[in-house]
Amino acid sequence: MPFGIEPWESDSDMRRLDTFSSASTSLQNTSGWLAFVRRSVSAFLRFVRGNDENGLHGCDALYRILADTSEDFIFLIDREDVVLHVNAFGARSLGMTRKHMIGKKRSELFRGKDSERQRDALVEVMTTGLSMWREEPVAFPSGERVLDTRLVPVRSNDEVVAVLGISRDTTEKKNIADAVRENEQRYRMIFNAANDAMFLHDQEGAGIVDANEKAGEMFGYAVEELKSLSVQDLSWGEEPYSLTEALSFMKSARNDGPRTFEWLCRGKDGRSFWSEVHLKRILLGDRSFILAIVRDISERKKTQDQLHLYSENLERMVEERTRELDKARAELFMSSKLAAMGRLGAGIAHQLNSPLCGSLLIVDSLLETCASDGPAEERLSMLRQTIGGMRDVIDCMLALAMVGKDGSVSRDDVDINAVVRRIVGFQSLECHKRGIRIEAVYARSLPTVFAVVGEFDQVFLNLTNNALEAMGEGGVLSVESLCDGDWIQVNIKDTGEGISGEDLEKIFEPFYTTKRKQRGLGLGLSLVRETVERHGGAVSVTSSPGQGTLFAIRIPARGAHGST
Amino acid sequence: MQNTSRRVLVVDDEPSICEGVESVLTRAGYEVKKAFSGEEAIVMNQQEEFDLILMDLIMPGMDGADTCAEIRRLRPKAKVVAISGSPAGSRVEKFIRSGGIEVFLYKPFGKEELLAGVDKALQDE
Repeated sequence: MPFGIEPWESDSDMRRLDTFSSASTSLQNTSGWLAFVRRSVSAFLRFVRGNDENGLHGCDALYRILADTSEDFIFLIDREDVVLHVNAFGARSLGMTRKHMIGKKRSELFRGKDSERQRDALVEVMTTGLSMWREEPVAFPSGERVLDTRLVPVRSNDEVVAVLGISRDTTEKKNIADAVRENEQRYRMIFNAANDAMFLHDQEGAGIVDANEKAGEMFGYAVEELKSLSVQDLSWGEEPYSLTEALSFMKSARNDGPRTFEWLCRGKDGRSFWSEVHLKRILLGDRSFILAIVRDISERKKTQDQLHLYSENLERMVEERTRELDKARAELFMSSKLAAMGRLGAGIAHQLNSPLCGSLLIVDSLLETCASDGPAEERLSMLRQTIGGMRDVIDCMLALAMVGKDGSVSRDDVDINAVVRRIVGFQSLECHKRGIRIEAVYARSLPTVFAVVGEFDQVFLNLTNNALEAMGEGGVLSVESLCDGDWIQVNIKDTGEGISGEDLEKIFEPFYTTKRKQRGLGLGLSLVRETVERHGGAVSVTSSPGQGTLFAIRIPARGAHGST
Repeated sequence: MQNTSRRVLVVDDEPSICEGVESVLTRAGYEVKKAFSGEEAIVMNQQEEFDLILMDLIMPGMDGADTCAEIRRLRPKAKVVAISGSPAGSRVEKFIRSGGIEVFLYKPFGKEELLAGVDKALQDE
């Protein structure tokens, strides 16, 4: 015989149950109850082995023990709606006794809507012969409770004769479950409504336990996908935005309190973006988690970067402008200096021209009167030569005076040979004084250059001045003019100290000077290059320390190579 | 060489020029007189006529151009050679040329330039 709900097939069995029930309810103390259980179990075992007729009593007793110690409401109702059995807990919870209930019609014990619902359910089970589970509120003297009830048909000869019901009071459980569900819903709603991405990490750190919708949106993953990823998958990955640093931040948040920092994130599409991360340790139940609130700050960062860029640009622009202004000021100073020098030079030239002219005429007339080949003639010739040198100096001063004179800039065809000759003449006195030999070779004829009168005087004056400066005392100043197709080339070479490679790169920069402070602004060569390049030409320099320096000026002839 | 005792006046505030010109031209057979200012030159022209006047353009007091104009008023046919302290082609030169002076001597000039200039001016006759 199987053990379960099937044994109660006859009225006699039911009666036996009743006798046992009175015995069990009389048990008051635990030790007596345990002894009773032991006796009942051994009786049951004997019955199962088939060697004791009284085993059945043991079986009933065991049922009673189970039914009466159960906190479930157990009842048996037959087809006539009569309560055949109810356990002690069931009777007690209805505020009745078992005696009062057993044998009564169920409809007399329960009234109202609850009763009707029970009837419908019982009828259904009896009709269909199928078990049923239902959860419903039921009115009890102590108030409304939620009962989780299982109704099972009891058969006799394939016919349903009764329905066994087992009800459990799930009111508390349901209330808790409802509260939990409600909490969960509320939490989830807030969690998902947040405009920041939120991640819940387990105590270990990197794994993602939960993430909100914004997190999915921000990183381009489905929320479920995120739960299978780790912090590493959402970070840029390179130091200092790799897993190592992330774990260290989490450890710090766990041990030292909340942390806020900027983090370079990586979305599913590989795109990187800046975020501000706030890490905080939280307790959910008795478990500890790390809550990460991630805010996308790429816009803010971009604005910051832009601001930074703007301010840097601004600084650079200010620097550039300042440099340009400095340069312009220096040029202005230089050109006003040149203009002043020019005016002074012109004045001096005019002043000197007349006595020089008188001297020349007098020397010439004396040369006529003195005896030829005599010492007087020799000395007068020397005097005449000296006057010639002075005339060159004055020519040169007049030519230079043409530069920078306000409003008097005139352009003309310039013969570079004449310019070079004039400058060489000008420097010859100085060279003679310093023991510098001049070797000058001029092209037989040169095409002209259309230039501001005096500008190229300035160029060659600067270059020869530098050459003399480099040589100091003694040496050779070589000057050569030549014609190379449409190009006019002038080489100016000295045997001076030379220029080191480092300086060579900078000599054309304005204000760069290796001369002693009083000796120049460092504008000479920059003006040389500016002038030559403005005429479509180029300046090249060859030098090494101890080897002297060669400056080669190439200028296109008028009309050639785009020159005017 | 012109030996017919042509009368030349040199006008310059620089005495060495007057001296040098006188020395060179006298040796070449000219009769030379000197004036050291424009005013002096005008007075001398009132008193006598010269075949040629060498005129410095820039002088204290009356300058060469004004002096020249005044002399031309007295002696419309006076021949003038300008002695210029400015380089050839300057604005001053252009202005003077427009006043009928065509021969220029540029300072500093020597004997050869002086004789050539004087010859040229007298040949235009």
